[in-house]
Amino acid sequence: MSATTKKIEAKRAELAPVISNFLFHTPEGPKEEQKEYVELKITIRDYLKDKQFRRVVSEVLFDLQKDVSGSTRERLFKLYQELGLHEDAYKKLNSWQWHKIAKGILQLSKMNVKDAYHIIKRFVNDRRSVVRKQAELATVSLRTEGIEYVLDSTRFAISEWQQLKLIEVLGNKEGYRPPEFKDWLISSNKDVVLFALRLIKHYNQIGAEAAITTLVKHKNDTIKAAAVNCIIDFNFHSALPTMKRVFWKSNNDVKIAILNAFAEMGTPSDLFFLEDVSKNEKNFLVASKAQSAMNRIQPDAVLPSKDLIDVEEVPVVESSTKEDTELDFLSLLDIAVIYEEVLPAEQASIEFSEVEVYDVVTVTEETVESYYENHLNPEKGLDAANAHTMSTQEKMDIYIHMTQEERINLLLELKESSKPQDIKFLEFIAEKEDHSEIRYKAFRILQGLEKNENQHVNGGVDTPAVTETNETDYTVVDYDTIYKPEDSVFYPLFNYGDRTGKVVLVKEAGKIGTDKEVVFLNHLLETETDKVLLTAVKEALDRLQPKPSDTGKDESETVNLDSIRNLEVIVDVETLDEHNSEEKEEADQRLPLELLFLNESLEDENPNQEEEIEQLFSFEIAPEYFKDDYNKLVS
Amino acid sequence: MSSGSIEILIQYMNMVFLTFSVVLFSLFTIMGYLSARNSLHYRKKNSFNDLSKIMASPLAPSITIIAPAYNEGMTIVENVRSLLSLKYVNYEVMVVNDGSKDDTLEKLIAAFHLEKIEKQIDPNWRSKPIRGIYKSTQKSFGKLTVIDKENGGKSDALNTGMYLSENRYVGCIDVDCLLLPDALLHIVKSFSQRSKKKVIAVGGVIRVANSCTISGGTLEQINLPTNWLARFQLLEYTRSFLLGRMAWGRIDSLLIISGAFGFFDREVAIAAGGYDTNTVGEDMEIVFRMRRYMHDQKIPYTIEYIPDPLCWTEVPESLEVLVKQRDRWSRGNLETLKKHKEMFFNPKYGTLGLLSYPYWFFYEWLSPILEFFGFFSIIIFYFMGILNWEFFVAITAAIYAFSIMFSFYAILWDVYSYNQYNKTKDILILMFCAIIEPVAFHPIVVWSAIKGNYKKLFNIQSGWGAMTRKGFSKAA
Repeated sequence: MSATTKKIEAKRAELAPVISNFLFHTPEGPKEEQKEYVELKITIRDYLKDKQFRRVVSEVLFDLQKDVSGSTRERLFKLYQELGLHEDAYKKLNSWQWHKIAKGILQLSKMNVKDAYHIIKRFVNDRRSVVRKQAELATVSLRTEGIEYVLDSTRFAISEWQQLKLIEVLGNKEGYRPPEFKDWLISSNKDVVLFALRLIKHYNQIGAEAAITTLVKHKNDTIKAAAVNCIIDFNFHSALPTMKRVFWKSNNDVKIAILNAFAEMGTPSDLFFLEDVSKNEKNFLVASKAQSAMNRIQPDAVLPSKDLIDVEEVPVVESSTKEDTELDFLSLLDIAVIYEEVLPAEQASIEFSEVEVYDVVTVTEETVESYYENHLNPEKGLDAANAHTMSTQEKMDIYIHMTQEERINLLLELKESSKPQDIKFLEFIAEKEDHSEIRYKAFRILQGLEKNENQHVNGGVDTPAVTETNETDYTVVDYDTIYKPEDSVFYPLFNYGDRTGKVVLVKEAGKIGTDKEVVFLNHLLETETDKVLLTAVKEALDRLQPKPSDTGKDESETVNLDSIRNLEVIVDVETLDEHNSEEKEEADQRLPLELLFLNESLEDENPNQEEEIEQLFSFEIAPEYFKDDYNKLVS
Repeated sequence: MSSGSIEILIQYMNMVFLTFSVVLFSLFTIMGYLSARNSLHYRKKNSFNDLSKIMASPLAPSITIIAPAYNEGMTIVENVRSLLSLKYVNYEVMVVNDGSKDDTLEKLIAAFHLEKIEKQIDPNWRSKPIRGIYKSTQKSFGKLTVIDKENGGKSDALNTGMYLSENRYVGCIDVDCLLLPDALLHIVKSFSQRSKKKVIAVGGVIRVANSCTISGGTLEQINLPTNWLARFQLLEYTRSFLLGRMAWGRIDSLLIISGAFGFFDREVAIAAGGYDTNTVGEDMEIVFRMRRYMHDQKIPYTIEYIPDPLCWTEVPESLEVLVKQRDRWSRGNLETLKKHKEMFFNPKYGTLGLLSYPYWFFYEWLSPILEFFGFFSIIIFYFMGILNWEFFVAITAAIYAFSIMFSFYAILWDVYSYNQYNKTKDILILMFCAIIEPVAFHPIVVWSAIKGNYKKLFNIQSGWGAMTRKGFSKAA
């Protein structure tokens, strides 16, 4: 330690208590103390003529400001300026040495010399990094609008460390009301954008959904990742489709952030995308993240597949005594078959009121073989030729494992050779596929098929799919595996409705519902206990998926019904189509969903004035809407 | 051979040694200047920072400290406790038990209430099989993760840790190193303070902890080692870390980060291929590889070096262990230089290829070999009666004087900047070490280097060699 340094240290030790007393002096004290105070002030002023002494006093005050707060701190700032020490700090700003300028800026900001703001802010774009960084911190510290000035005017990058410090400075400001930082998300300085994102997240400013969602498409991966993290924090569900689109163009960190977002906010409809990621992503961490996201959305969506004992597992095939030949065939294939006691024919009659599962399995040699070859050996793939021989569920299972290129090829083939039994499968692709081109292709094929179907109906030409034998007529779709009750538009409305409203909604679901509503109604059937509601649900289900007997078809056309247990509803393509055509006519007269609520509120106000309601909506609602079904149900 | 030819040969050798010495003096002088400038710049720059306020920031970047452990049962619990007490908000301590044959894992499980957790592991990951991942059931040890794997060496353990870490930065340290409480704050600051260049790695000074007093993972008292070998190594470390690496850091050409205290950007380290498991100089090799990777990617980058004394470790106090350690270092040096020979005077790599690599080649690898053969040449020339005494005495005196001067400079610079040994007696002892080092310690280093090179040249298999540690002294 040099002699000068030792001298300065000694002076500091001597002055520190004196200045402390000076600071804690109160004008209310005794007269002698006041006199002492004035004398001390005069002495200090005399001493201040010495340059070294000024430096020591300045350093003592600078150290003290770290330890005091409130009014004492204010007095310290005042004293600093009263003694003219801030002039020394100003002089440092004119130095050619970067560390002296930075020290001057630091002193002025720490001693809260607000007048220095305009001088200091000129250094915000200084080429010397330490000076620039100190100027940024001082600008933000001295004035509330300082942060806006820095974000508006900085041309240089803002390091991550500097961002943390700026946030810390803002955090120390009492009663600080931050501006809307979304205004800087459009800055051309990418570090400003990144900093604005951090500030938005820090101050929980949720009003920037559109801008943040757009930033997910930013070229810079750091910004992209920051935007995704904001989205997760703010639960911006609307950003999920954008994230799906940018996923494959992102680096691994962003991919993981996106998958975290899906794990937090994803719905079952996103499982298809996640499945695609888990199959096609090369990076193991990303792929396993996709799988864990799937399990977060739907527990057990992905089950362990590694290091398991090699046991061949095949679907349980229920059989009847009639299928002896099929059983022989199965035993040849070495497929496990569960033999179950066959019910006598009269006991096997099915009560439609207890409908729960919508599945039909027609076990024939062809279907088993095709399943064995295509499903158990998925590497063999799916093409237009074998697509017609498989159930929709099997096709869907294989489809989700296919690459984008394979999917396009499949659709090109289907374009040439699709059959009506492919409709459900195509609908599945049109609805669930992420790739817009593939989705569009499926949609076009569907359009073509529907057009052909109409021509067949109008021209009285038999459609092979419905006139053939019972091998492929029956669409085997387990909607419960595709949809969840929440997927129905009626689901959220139902949860908020009262009893009457629920009945109305169920009725409406029966009229305009699709497969999603079938799942939703099934769910109600299992969970609801209200008898009126249950009756409405059953009727709605009947309406959506009529019994075979209702269609007027011969029982022989419904595939060994007697021999199949637990399969309670058979969806016959032909009857469904017929029914659909009736429904289509009816659809034009349906009550719009919006009016349903108006209807409900009117009912609440005038529960006994059904006629009035009827008149009000008579121009739109089918006559039986209130007269028959609704009155019957409510009464 | 005619006397004329011998004369020419001798003259030629004199010229080579003279040139070599002059370049060496020049380089060391420049180094002294650059390191002083860098140290001053570092001190001034850091006088504006208050690290403690960032310590608790929720926005602080995340970091994993990977500590490979092999048969560390005696000290593992205390060492891990020390690592868990660092002052930083967002960090994880990952101990990789590299197939220890002792009770390292059992002690960890018992002391920190660990239980096995499930985690998906890439079946194609190239490290030795992972037997289990453990986390503590107690919240107070939430920062600790223990990986149990089959033995694969230090590099393999570090690679496993790097792969399993999910944090932005990873620190690779020796588990028995003592980190000062605010070490991570300095590291994180160094990583995140640059705005134009990406910081891919941060290295720091290793200080000698022999004879220091440690209590509860904290350095209570700094003492000069009592063992003379440790004293010489302390002098050597001061020269190397405070002058050499500081100087290379100034011109952004640092080619080595100590394996005992090195931090990396995880993404870059993995992209560059992680640690090489086929070399014993893995700490140097990874820096070469990461630098080459960034050069090839054309991404602006840098490596930061922190001169603050943040990491303390024990150095060998027995001659046998010391020779083994230096033998390994020289093998590692040769392996790395050979592996990256494309960089030699390659302008594509800028100062790295034109200055840094050649320095390592000539003055870190070739220098001990030249010294060794020079020594035997002198003896032979003496018996042949052809030794040029004037030249010999002059060049030996010059080298000796320069060596002492350089060591003195390092000691004084250390006193000025960090003042670790404030007793005058300690400084005088170190100065005495500087005077006798060229004859008392340097020959050991040269001999070890020759041994290492010999093993490498004749492909004699030799692993790491065991490092016997005494353990830090406990506070009274």
